[in-house]
Amino acid sequence: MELGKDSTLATGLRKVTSVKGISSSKHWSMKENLIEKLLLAFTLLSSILIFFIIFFVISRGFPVLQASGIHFLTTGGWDKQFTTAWLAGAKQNVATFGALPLISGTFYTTLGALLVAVPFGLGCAIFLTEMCPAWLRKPLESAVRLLAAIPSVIYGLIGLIVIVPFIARNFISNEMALKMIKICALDGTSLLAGIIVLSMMIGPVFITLSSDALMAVPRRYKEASIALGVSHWRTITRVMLPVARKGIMTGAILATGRAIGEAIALSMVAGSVANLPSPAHGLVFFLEPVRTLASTIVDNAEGMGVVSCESALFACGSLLLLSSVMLSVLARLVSSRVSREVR
Amino acid sequence: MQAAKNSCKIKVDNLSAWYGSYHVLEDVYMEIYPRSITGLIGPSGCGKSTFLRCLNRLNDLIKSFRSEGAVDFEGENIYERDVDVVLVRRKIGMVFQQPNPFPMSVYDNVAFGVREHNRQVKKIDLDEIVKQSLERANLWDEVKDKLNHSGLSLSGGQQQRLCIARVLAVMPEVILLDEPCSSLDPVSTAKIEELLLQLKNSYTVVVVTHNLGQARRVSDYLGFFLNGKLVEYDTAFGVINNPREKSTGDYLAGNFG
Amino acid sequence: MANINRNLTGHAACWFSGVLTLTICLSIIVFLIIKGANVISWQFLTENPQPSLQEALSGGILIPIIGTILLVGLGTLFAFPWALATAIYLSEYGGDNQWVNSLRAGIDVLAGVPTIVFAIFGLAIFTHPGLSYFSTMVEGVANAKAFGRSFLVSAFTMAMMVLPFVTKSMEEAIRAVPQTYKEAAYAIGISKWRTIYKVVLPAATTGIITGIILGVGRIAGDTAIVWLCLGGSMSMTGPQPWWIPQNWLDTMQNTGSTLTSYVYYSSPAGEGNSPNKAFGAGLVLIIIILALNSLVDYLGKFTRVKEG
Repeated sequence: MELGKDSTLATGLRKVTSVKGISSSKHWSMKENLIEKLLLAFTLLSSILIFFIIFFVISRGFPVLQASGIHFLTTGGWDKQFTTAWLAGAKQNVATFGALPLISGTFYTTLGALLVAVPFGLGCAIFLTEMCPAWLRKPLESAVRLLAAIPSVIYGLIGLIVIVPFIARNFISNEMALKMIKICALDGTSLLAGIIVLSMMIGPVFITLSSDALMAVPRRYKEASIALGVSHWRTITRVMLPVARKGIMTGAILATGRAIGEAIALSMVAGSVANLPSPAHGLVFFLEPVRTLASTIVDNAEGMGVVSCESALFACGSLLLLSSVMLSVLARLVSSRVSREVR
Repeated sequence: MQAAKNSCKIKVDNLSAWYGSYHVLEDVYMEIYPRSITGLIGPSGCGKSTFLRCLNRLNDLIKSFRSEGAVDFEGENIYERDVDVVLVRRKIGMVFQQPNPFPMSVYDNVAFGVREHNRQVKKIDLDEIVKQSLERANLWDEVKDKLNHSGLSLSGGQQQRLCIARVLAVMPEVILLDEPCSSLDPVSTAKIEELLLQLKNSYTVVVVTHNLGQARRVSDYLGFFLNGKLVEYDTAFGVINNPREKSTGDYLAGNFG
Repeated sequence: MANINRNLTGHAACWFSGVLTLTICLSIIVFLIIKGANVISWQFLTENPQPSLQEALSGGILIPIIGTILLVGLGTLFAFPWALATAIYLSEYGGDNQWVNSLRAGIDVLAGVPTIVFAIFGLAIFTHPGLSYFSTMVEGVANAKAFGRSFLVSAFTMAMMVLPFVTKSMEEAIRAVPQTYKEAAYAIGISKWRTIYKVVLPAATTGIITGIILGVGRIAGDTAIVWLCLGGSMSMTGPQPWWIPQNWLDTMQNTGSTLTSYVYYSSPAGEGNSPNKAFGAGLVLIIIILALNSLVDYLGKFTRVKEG
């Protein structure tokens, strides 16, 4: 059977004789349009979600923020305020709160974790890309990926079973505890425990992004430097790290975001008291319990049934949301700005 | 080499085109005749590939592309508003420079277009169409035992013939080829050229090529592009032996490339 | 001379960091295995948790395991079509205009929001009477409004949390499909949607599946949303027996537990009754997550081999 253009089968496939709009094709393009509209609807839903979350969280937190004003950021007393508001129930819809201890808790834990994770993480990233012997590379990469995959509750568990008692036994003496008894109880859950656990959690993310950035440095830069007789170490610090700046900074920003938002692990190991540790206490500073904005929400979650308490928690949530939005914006700025310079 | 001048398959009328502000084609006028091979030659960047892609509106995919003028296919301008571009591309098929079979089996590659255009096609008819398309592409003997193998497992030359079979399966009237042999070895190239000479008996073929020898070997008509303008267009014999323009002669002589 | 010293210290510091990281990882794994493996037994995996102050009598983790599976399944069910549709639209139809680019930026921003914020958002939203279908009124404090917690609530919240992440992953996979496949399809007269459906999506399948698996991993490992939106109850609180098909909907409208909430609950931070069992559950959780990650790696290799 010669499949010439005139056979019946051929005509069946070539329903059309002209290329202008044919009814069969109109129905066809209606279906195409419908599908495109459907996909658009889902996409719109995504963008609505983003706006709605931001709007909702901030508007629910607004009553407390408005009532407390700047005092929200500058004064403390959260625990007492929260309990009072909770007991008052629906009788009192708005109350003032002072979240300074929470904000400082977030600040200190994040700062501490970054001070630990960034140097060690960068060192590990440099090791991984530049100095690691071949047989060690795979295990180390897998180790980093493993650490990144461990859920936060397990870090919290390990911290609670290992690190907290360790701190309690070795760093906290009875006299110390007695001295501090009026301010807070020293039982091992502390700023120090929080910093240790948090740095283990944000380290892997930072290591991965930094080593990606270092591996992306074009070989010719490194070769040119070595060929000029510059030592390996100086090549790394003077040539490669500057070129990898963008990725490393992005990694640090992402790590910061992770640290600020961590709720579960810190609620387990950093303490459940809204305490404001004071550097005036000396080294005990590190051993005092703290609570962050995020872990407060976890610890005080039962307050969600009471309007004033719920508003307070959403106020914390608003601060968290704002900080994560700012960090995202910062990360984008870094990406676009630094790349122009490097070129 | 006298073709019926009264029935031209495609008439390009004052076609101009821009990529953004870059003027890539300027006032091209060309008549393409059925059952013949029209070759398009010219140095790199002269606009011949852009011109080819205008013939099946594939340039629509490029956001900064803009065109003026008409491309009449059997009397109807394909650039008019109510034209269904998908139908246009069924009738005017294209084969690309780099062979690009789908990541599917040989059979599915050829059957793909057929299945899409006619959902109710019966398996037995489909088998026949696939076989005939592969035969027409001079590929059947080499793949008849390998129909279930991936299209990507064939050699470069075979992949290109597979792409031709894929186009033949949807039964177009015009086949456009954009430098189809530039990534192939001489043996595969010869096979494709032989195939083109067979295909011209049933289809209208337009080939862009940078290989002057190939242009000489296969073309009935030849169009020479330079800097976005169609400098010369006549029968292949005429262009090669009696070029009217100096630049045509220079290009053919290899004075510039 | 000073340079050599600097070199040496630099190298030493890096070696130290690398070895330290490796040591920490190994210690954690070994510790988890030692603590957890003791507890894991067939009985442990198939018994339900029992309320008891004594660890030995506190049962196993069957319900938490099922809870995790249920939550992951529902969450993925809600998130997958949404993410896929958004990814397809952004990469194939969206083009390059202001709105699409700011939407992408918005998705990036959403990806950075801490899960605890999603948790209170979800919890508060589903308190609305209009959404009361999704949970049964469980608890109310005197003079306060009741709020709904359930598997459905948690699953929706999880879906929202994981959406940006999965969408980005899928969009990357779709964009990675070579342009030339699309051109080939267009050139034989295939319409846009059919090209996407029959050529682009099949080619992007492994990448899309990778996105889903990564999403699954995040849902399985998250505690904040579970703790807030599912509560800390150890057993399914719907009508019993919870596993018969008639009760499925009710079970989903009620609370229960997952591996993550079980770990939190059993640790000294929760009730603290069975810290050892917490390790057992933790080990099971990590094994599941590692299995998922290995699957992702395997699929990654599979794609590379296929494209030769």
